[in-house]
Amino acid sequence: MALPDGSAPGIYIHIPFCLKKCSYCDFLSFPAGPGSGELFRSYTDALIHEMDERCGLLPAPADTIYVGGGTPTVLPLESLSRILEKSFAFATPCCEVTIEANPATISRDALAALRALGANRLSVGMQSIFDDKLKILGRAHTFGQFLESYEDALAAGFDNISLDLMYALPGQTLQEWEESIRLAASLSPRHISAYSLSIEEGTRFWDLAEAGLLQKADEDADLEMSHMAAALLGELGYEQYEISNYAQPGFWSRHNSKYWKRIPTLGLGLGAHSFAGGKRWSNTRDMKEYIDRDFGMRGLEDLSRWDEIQETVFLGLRLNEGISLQDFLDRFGESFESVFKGPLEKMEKLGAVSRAGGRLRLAPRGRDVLNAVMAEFLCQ
Amino acid sequence: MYRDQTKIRNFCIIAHIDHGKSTLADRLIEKTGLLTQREMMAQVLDTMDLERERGITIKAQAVRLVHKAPSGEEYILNLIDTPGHVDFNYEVSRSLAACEGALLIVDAAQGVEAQTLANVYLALESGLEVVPVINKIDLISANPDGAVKEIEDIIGIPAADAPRISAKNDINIDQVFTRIIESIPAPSGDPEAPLRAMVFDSVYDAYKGVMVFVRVVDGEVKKGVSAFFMAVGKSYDVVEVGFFAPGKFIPCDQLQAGDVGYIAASIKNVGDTRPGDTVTETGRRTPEPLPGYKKVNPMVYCGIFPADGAKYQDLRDALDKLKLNDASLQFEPENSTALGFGFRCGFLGLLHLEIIQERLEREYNLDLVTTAPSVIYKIHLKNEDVIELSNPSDMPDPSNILSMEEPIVKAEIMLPKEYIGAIMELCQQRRGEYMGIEYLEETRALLKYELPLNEIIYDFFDALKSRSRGYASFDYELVGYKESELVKLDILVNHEVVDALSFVVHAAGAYDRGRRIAEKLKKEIPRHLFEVPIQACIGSKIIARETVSALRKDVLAKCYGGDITRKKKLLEKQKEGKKRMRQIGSVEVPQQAFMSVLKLEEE
Repeated sequence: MALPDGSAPGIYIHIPFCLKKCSYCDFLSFPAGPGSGELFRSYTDALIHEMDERCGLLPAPADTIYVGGGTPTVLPLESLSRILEKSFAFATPCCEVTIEANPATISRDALAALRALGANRLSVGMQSIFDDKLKILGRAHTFGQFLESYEDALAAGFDNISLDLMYALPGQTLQEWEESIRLAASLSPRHISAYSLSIEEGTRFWDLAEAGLLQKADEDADLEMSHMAAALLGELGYEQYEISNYAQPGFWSRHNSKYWKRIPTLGLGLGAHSFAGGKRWSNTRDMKEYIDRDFGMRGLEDLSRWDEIQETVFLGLRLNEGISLQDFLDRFGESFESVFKGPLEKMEKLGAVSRAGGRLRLAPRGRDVLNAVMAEFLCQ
Repeated sequence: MYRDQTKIRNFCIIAHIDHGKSTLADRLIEKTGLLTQREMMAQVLDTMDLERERGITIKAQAVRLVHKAPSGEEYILNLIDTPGHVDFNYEVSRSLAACEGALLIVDAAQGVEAQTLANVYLALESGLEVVPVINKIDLISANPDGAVKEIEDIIGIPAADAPRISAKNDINIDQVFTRIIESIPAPSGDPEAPLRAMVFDSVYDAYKGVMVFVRVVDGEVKKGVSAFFMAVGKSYDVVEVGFFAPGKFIPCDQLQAGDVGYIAASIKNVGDTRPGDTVTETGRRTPEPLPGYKKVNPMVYCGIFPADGAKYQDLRDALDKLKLNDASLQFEPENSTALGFGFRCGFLGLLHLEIIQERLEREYNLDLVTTAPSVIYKIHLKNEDVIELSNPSDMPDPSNILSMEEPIVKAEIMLPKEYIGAIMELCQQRRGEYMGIEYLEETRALLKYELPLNEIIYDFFDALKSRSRGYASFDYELVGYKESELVKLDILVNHEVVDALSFVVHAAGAYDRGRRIAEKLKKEIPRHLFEVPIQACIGSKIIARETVSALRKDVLAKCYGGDITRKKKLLEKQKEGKKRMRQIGSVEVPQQAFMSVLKLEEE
C-alpha cells in the first residue's frame, strides 16, 4: 500500500470504560466501577489478541499511538502497561504516544509508570474551571481535582499535555469562557482543544433538550465565544490549526492530523474505526462479540473516487492550512477548480473560502458556517 | 318483440356521505342474486380505491338487477349511482335525468343534511318520484320518527310509510323493493320512434375504447348501426351494446326504450362523449335532441408540476390517462421560472382538484408541487378587449386594465344554531354578502351567502369545519360575475419574483394575505449564508417584508476517525434534501414552501 505523503500510519486503541457517562457524551463507553476487574481483564486480553492478529497488516510501523475512550485511565495500570507494551511492537521508536486521562481517575504514581513505559503525551479532559459547569456536564471531577492531576502529570514527567475545554454550555457567559481559557493557557499546556458543545442523540443532554429542560447557548453567543477563543488563544501563543484545535508551534496532535490528512489509521478495540487501503471499516460495538475475539470488519466501505474527493474536501478544509490544489490535481487527475467550478465561485463571492499560495482555505466567515460550505461543495 | 317497459324501473339513490348509500346498493345487488355472497366485495359500486377511502363516489356507474317480486314476476331494476359532491353537480343532474325515481336515504340518527337537500331538489326538479328510506334504524341513537318528520317538514314529501331499514344488518330490505316497484313509474318512451338515448357517463376501457353509458328514451340501438352524437356532431359505428352487471359489462343484442346500458363504438377519447348529449341513429335521426345538455367548464385552475423535473413526461402521460376517463379535466403545458415545466390544469371544483392530485400521486406515483388555485377573472382592458384570466402570471399591466370581474357563488351552509355567529363572521371576512337564514328546525339553520369564488378556494372548507367543530356542511353554485377591486400580489424572494406564488386577491385583503404568506415563507425557507428578504408586492409597492436571517454558526465541532463516515452520511442526506429544493436565484426554497402558503392558518 502506498502511503500518502510518505507518512507512517497511526494506531488508535479504544478503551470503552468510564467512571460514569457524561451528559453530553455519545462515544462508545460504559460506566465501569471498581467491581469490573474481570471485564477489564478479558477486554485487555481481547485487545492484545486483536493487535497480534491485525497489526501485522500495517504497511509500515506506526508513528503515533493514541489510547482514547471512554477513559483509558480507569483501566488498571497493569492492563494499560500490557496494551502499551504490545503496541510498541508495531511502532517506530520516536512514536507520539497519547493517552486520554480524566482528572481524578489516575494517581501520580500511575502517571509516572505510564510515562516510564513510553507514553509521552497526555490529553486531559479539563472542560471548565467552574465546578457548577462541570456538574452540569456530568463530569466526575472538580476543578480542584483537575489542578491536582495536572500537577501530578507534570511531576510524572509529561511535558506534552493537551487540555480539552468546552464552550457554548448551558448558562455559560462569555466572561466565564474567557476565564477558563486564560486559566488553561496560564498552565502552559502544549495543546488546547476548544469544543463547542453539540447535543447528540442518545445522550442525557439530548433527552433534557427534547423535554425542554436544557437550553443550549444561542447561536450568537456560540459564535462570539468561538471568535473570542480563536483571538485570545492566538494572543496567548496557541495557533489555531483546526476548527477546534490550537497548539504551541510544533505541537499539533500528530495522531489526529492523520484523520484530517487521510493518512491510514488502524483502530483497535470495541467499535474502533479504521482507514487503510482506500477502505473504511469499524469493529463490532458488541462487547460480548469483541471479547469472544470477533474482529471481523463491520460497515466496510470501499471508497469511490467521489467519496475520496468528498473526504479530501471536508477533512482538508477543517485545517487552517486548507487543501493543496496541486495535491488535489495530482491525486484526482482533475483540478479542484474544474470539479467544483460552481460552488467555488459562489463560496468565494460570499467570502466563505479563499485561494492563495496554491491552497484553498476557509475564510473566517466560512469557518463559522463550515457545514453549510461543505454542503455547497459536496451536494452539487 | 319489444321488452315490456312496465317491468323496468330506473332509479338512483340520494344520500348524504355516510348515510349508507353504498351499503344499501350492495344489499340490493346481493338480494337480486346476481352475485353470490362470496363474490360480494364490500361496496361493489365504488371501484376506485380512492373513492373507498374517502367514502365518496366519484364516477357515476350503473348496475342492472333482476328482481323476482313476491307475485313471481321479474322486474329489471337499473340502479344508477350518482356522484355525491357539488363539484359534480352536472354529472348528478344527468344521472338523475336517466331515472324515473330516486331513493332518498336518510340516516335515522342524523336526519336530513344540507348536501342531500341540493340533490333532492335537483331530483324533484327533474320530475323524479322521490321515495324516502330511513336507514340505520338499529343504531342506539336512531330516531326514525324524527327523521320522518324532518323529511316531511324540510323537503315536503310524505314519509310516514317510508321503509325503516338497516342496510348493514339486512333489516326490511324487501320493503325497499316493494316501494321501488309500487312507487317509481315505469319508463314510457316510444320504442318505435327514432333512437333517442341520453349519455350520462362514460369510461375508458383498454380493449373496447370508450364505453358510453346511456339511457334509451325512445327507439332502439344495436350492433352495426351508426350512432350519431348530436352535441359532438360525430358518428360512430356501434360494435357492442350491453347491460351492467356489478363490476362487469354483459353484451346483449339490443337496447330498447326504457333500458339503461352501454354502447361501445371504438371511440378513442372520453372527451368525444359528453354527459347530457343525445345519441340518435345516423340514418334515422330524431328531430329533437333530449333537453338539458350543457358543456361543463372548469371553475378552478392551478399549476401542477413534478417535484422532480425529469418526471415531466410521466406527469403528461398520467394526465392523458386520467383525461381518458374524465372529460372535465383540462390541462395545458405551463412553464414557471420557479417550478420548471408542468401543466396548468382546470377542474370542476376544489374536490375535483384534490382528487386528481391524489390520484396522480397515488396511482401514478408522482411527487407534485401544486400552485395556489385560481378562478377565472374577467378583465376589461382599456382597448375594450375582455380577457379571461386563469393564471395570475398572465395578468396584464394594471395601467391597461379598465376593470375586473370575479366569479360569485351562492353558498348554502347548513349548521347547528350555536355556530351561526362564528360562521357568519367567517363569511363576512371572506367578503360574503348575507342573503338570509332559514331555521330548518329548532337546532339547525340554513345560512345563505353570496361569496366570491376566490375566497373559498383556499382554505374556506377547513375554516368552516374548524369553526363549527365539523358540523357545518356547505354547498355552492356559480351565480355569475361581479366587478371587484382586484390586484395581483407578487412574492419576491431575495428580490426575485416567484411566479408560482403570485395571487390575484381583493385589494382590501391583499395586505393581510401578503403579510401571512411572507411570515409563512420565513418559516419554510432555510437560513442561507446570506440574508434572504421576502417581500410581498403589489406592482412596485412593497406591502409586507420578512427576512430570513443569515446562518451565523453551523460547525461540526469534532471530526475524528469514527466521525468521518457519519459525517459523509449526513452530507448525503443533505444532498437528497437539496435535490428537493427549488432554486430561486441563489436561494433554495423547499417544495414544501410552495404548498404551505396555500394553507395559511386562521388567526
